[in-house]
Amino acid sequence: MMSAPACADTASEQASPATVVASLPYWYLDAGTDVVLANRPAVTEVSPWLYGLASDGTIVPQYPDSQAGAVTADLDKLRQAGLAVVPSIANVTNGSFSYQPIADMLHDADRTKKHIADIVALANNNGFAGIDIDYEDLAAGDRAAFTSFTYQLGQALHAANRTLSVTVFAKSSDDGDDPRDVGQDYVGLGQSADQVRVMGYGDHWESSPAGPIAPVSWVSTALNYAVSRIAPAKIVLGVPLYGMDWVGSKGTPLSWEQATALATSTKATVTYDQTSQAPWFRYTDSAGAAHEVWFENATSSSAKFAIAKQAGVGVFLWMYGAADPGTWSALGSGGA
Amino acid sequence: MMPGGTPLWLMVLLAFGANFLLWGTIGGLRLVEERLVRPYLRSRHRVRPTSGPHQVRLDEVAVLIPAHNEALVIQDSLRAILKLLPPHQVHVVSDASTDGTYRLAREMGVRVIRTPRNVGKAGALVAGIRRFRLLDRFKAVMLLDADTHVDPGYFDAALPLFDDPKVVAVAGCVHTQREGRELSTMGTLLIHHRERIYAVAQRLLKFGQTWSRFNATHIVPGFASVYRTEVLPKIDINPTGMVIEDFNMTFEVYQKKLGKVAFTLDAIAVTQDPDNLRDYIRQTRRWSLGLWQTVWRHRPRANLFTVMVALLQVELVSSSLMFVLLPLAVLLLAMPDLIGVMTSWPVIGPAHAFLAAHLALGALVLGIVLPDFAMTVLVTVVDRSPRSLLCAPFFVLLRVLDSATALYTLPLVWLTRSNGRWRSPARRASPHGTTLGR
Repeated sequence: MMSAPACADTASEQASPATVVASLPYWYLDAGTDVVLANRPAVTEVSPWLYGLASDGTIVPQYPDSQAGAVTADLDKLRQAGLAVVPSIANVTNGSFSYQPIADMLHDADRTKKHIADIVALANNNGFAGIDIDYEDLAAGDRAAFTSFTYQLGQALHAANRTLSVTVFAKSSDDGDDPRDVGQDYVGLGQSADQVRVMGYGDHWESSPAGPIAPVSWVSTALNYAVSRIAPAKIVLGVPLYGMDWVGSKGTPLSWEQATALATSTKATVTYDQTSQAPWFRYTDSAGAAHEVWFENATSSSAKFAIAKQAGVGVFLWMYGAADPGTWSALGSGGA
Repeated sequence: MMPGGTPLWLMVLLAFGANFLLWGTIGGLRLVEERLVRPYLRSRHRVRPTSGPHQVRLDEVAVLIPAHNEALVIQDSLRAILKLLPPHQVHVVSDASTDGTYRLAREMGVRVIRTPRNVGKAGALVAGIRRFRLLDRFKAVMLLDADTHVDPGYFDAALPLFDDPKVVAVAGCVHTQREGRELSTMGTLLIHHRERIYAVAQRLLKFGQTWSRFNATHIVPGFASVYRTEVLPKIDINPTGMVIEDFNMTFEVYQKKLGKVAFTLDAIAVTQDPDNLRDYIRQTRRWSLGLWQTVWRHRPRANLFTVMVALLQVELVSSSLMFVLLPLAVLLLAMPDLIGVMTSWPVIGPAHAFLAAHLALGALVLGIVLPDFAMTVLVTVVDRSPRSLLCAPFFVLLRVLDSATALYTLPLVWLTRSNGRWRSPARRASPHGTTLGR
């Protein structure tokens, strides 16, 4: 693992995706910072997933107060390593995504203005290179307002010499398969933002039946649609670094490290599914419940890096927890 | 309006309880949120995990058991907890035991220390936390009574509640041990009465009180509850003169604004309740006095917790008065039917006439006995324990006893100073293979 960065430097010139964003959720920020620094040359930008919204729409940290000191220290370390820090603001209130604060803000010109000012102030006061907006669960009727909001926000951030990134759901048509997909106008967002991050994961999720989280054909379809609407140079494909352990239709997220340890302790055989390009296994727990686990490793992530490279887009890694160390060398070599 | 003048609704309210109505309603809202709203939100296609792994894992929890002469039960309780945790996470403080508690605990392979002199339960907790260095070694500490059996599902239900960073303690859900005990008639009655109190108080009071939105509960029971270790140094666990530690620890959490208390009906532990009248009265008296002492020790503040406690105390006094006066009122009212001539006696005669003008026997039955019976039926159905229905007629009498105890202990707050000595009810060894839980 330690030798990876050395070879990454030479390989990156032609092979690896131009943009590699490490998305570090607050619960993995501490350990994840060390991982990023150890693989520093493979990463171009770090997006700590740090901020949420209070019910009145003000920007608040998602992490507990007790973590504040550690967050500051980690961000300093990342900045000192010369990495651009572009934190995410998600419409998460008290731990769950909530629609109301965003809806209230989008459809009230004064609140929109104030929210934009708050975001620019957050970036200025903390010396962030940019801001990533991760507003999920919009209604179809929010489409125009959300596009207009991101346009104004982009202008304001650019004026302050900061970048704007917007995170969106993967979809294969303008309407997608949910009203919230309609709310995200790829074309409009692609014009406002410097980066559009497409979450290339979630084909199977916490309340779905068991299955691969990001099967390659599904990822390809979504990426093809994105490329048809947004300039490839602005697109960043989300690659999951997590797995899910299902009992029936109830999934519990786990990291690569936890998944491999679980396979070992339950003496399960890990199979690599060639069609979806993902490892999986089954086991029965001490209470007799049948589990099915799908996760990601260096091979499955490489397959996604290759798709991104082919389409000429960047990647971002959703770093849920300790990932396969081989992932980083795969990044360096562009997934070949 | 009932014949006799006292509004029926007022009596029902007094017997059933304004607190039950209030917190029961809030509990109902919590149930709607947890059973309907949250599953709906979760069922939405969440594309990726948006919360991390649980904040407190099982290997980060210490169990701390203070024990004074618990030889009869300690090994059984340890067996139950050792099914869930490895021995190096289980700690016993034998507080001046003279019956082999120390040796029996050591035999089980757990960590055991002895206190040099009898320091009481709270003192033993303090000693255990310090001498086992629990604050440095663990993220959370479960305080566990030596007679308590922890249900296999306890930690799965309790630990995820610490994911909310504001939660500093998780209160265990108490069930009383019925199986494997040979009980006298009085014992059966007492156990069912206790079980009914637990069932009602935990569902109608505590479940609502511990909703994250209106968080204020008066008790994190010391028999099997988990505290975040980082708050323990801020809690005065062993103030002088207190006969009981858990009310005080709970009040400290709220009045020092240390955080919230979480509670779920699924984090179950089974305890041995007294099965004879003497132990029962002794225990209720200690709990009652402990509550009054705690209320007296903590100055009221402008917060929800203080309002909750005040409401609870007002009702405790008023309903206790009502229950204590109940037998007297029944006697006075029924008098003419029993011995007609008594109505002409001095004092008693006019008292009867006065009472009869304001209160009818039928109203007492409708207003107090019936709601009490309804509560029993409810518990019988919810807990599927038909036998408690047989005890129903006697529960009212035990409530009279509880009420008398509550009123009797009130003035003791200013008269008693505890030396912290233990007064556990007599324990019974339970046979191996006792089924735990419901």
